Amino acid sequence: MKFSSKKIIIIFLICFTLSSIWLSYKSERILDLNYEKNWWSTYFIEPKSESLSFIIENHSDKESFEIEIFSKKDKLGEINIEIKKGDMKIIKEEDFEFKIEKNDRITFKISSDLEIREIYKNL
Amino acid sequence: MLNFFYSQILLYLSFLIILFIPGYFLLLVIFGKNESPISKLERFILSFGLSFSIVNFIAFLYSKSNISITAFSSILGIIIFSLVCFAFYFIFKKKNVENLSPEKLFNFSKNQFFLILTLLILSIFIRTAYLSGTVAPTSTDMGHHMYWVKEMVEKNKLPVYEGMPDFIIGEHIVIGKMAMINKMSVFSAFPVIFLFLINIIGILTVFILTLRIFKNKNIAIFSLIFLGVIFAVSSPQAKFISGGVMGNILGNFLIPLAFYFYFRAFENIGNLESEFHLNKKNGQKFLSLAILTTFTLFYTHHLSAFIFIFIFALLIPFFLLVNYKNISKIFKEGLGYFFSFPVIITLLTGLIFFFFIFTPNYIETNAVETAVGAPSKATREGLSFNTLKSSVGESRMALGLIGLFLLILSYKKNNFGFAIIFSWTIAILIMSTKPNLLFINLPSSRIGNYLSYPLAILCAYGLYSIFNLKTINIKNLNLKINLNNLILEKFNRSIFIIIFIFVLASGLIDTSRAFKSSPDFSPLIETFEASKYLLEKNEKEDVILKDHNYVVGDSWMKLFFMQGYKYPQSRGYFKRYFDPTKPREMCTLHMISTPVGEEALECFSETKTNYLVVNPLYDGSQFKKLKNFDSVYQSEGVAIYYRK
Repeated sequence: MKFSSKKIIIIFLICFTLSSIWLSYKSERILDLNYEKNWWSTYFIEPKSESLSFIIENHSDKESFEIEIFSKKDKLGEINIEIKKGDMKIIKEEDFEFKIEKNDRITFKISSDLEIREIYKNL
Repeated sequence: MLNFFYSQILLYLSFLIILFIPGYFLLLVIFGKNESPISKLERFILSFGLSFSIVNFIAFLYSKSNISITAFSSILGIIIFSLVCFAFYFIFKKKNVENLSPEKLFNFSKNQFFLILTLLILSIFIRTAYLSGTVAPTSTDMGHHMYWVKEMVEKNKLPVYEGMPDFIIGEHIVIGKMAMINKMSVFSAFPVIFLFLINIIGILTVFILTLRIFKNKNIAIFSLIFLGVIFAVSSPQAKFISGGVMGNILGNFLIPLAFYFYFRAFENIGNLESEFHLNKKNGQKFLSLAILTTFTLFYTHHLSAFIFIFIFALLIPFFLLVNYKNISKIFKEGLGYFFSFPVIITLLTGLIFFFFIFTPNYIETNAVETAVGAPSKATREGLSFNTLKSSVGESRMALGLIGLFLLILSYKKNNFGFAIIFSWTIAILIMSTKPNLLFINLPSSRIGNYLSYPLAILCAYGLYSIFNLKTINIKNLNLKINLNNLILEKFNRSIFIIIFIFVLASGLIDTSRAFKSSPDFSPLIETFEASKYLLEKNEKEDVILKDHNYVVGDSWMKLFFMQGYKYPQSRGYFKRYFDPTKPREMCTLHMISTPVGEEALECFSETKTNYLVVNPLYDGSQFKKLKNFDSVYQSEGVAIYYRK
């Protein structure tokens, strides 16, 4: 058996290729919004206007979300919703069963387990 | 799944086209195919470095001729270059045949073969294991570099860097052209894989350089242990790959490559008895390639080029000094190499490119002047020996210094390679510990990182020499030791085992410390998703400010907007705002830290900033109190405030 450098090159190329396939696979997983991720976010659909429609995007293992709506410090009402991992829910102004007077800070306090997010607009 | 395999095929195709084919054909036309002075393994390794050079120079020509740099034009340029090389090879191939036997040095015994394979596999495996947890696009440096790569890909021309001297064109051309061909996102693993390959090829370059210098396969194999396996993660290895420290990784590839060519050029200068004698023509060819690689280094990384100049400035006088008895012969032969058609043509072409076709931005700005002079900061006043020791690894430092001592003891004055290794080590040692002696005004720790490469070679030489004291020419010291003495041999063997275990253990402990326990990438994804939100809602008049202190992966945000390197604005590390030597821009600090303060109000009106991206845990409370800020986006690690 001849132990030439040609064999070293071939084995090096095989190892490097396998390694980079693995790294590419890992990278795809890392950039996947849901794979081994645990986060959720909420945001207004129109950040600049007076529209109060917003989205909750869930990439966590939690599925129950409680939304409390405040005008200044007064609680106007609350909604409970379910969102599966990888899904999002649009909450439109017209979905609320109560009227929101747009004359002060309107805060949406969204909680799931012990985690809380707050988005608000000063109208 | 199909997309994944398709992208993988394109990835390897881009590596082949950009990083292998041009160099392979250049070597083909220069040295022919068979019976050439380079072995198959060398041809394989050198093809990467030379391709890197050629692809850069083709891009400079395109830039000067206003030809768009696209995937098609890049491939076309390489095809034309390779065809021209092949045509010349085909026409002149008979003349290229020389009766040389380089493969002898590259035929390994069964044990050596399996040891090389094991070390290579280990080198790749350790790095892969580390990079698996760090391949995510989080590092600040990588984010900065990928901005320019993306700009090149999107605008189909070379980036101009907005006058910033810290970015050098050679860092981005090759990876940019590859991205055009493989269509992979710069957020993917592709940049890391590119640097990984460069790192491994750099290690293999050191392997062939060591093999050529010492003509000893075992020393070369040991160099693989000290550079590839031990301290495989610490700087400047895998940590620099994931950290996107492109200049350093590329510099540590091009410096040994240039030394390889210089060594091959002057391998036999004043040494006609050598068994591996090359003719004058081959010396000239190697010198041409050395000059080409040197120009590439100057186009790729200023710090590496700067270090290379100092090494060279020590190398030439040192080699001449130790060979002073032979100096006229060396001069005569050296000038014979230099004043030859291939060398003069390469040098002139390089100079024309450098000064008239594409001048690196660090030459055009004042970067060179700022690197020379008395150290301006404490971090530039030189490292203590202890700091340097911990930077390159205590055991590697110790064994490397033993290697240096043994190299001096057994110094072969007409071996140009010995002079290279000596100057490489000593120049970096002085530059990093006593920069004031050389009027260097650069961060000492960055220079110190370059020491690990020559030290690895010295470690290999030291370890081998301790084990084989017969190889040391100790008659220089008038010592008489009976080397056949059985006790001495057993003693040597014991020392070898103890030292080897010590170095191996400390090197691997260092590696194991660097592994992270499966990190959570949710905060990174939050930043990217927030960036996408802003990109969607962002209008022409909007101005964004983000925080670099507490937002994960924030330096990658600019890649979503592509509205300039400095967009979005960034609140940098707090210490940067308090510089006693010069006034600093403060608006980015005020607008986030004290948004209601007078300075901040002035800054808001001046900069028109209306979106602020911060971590709500650290910077949410100051905005919550204010009526002119809406909280429009929130996740755990990112909040976006809109200023009305």
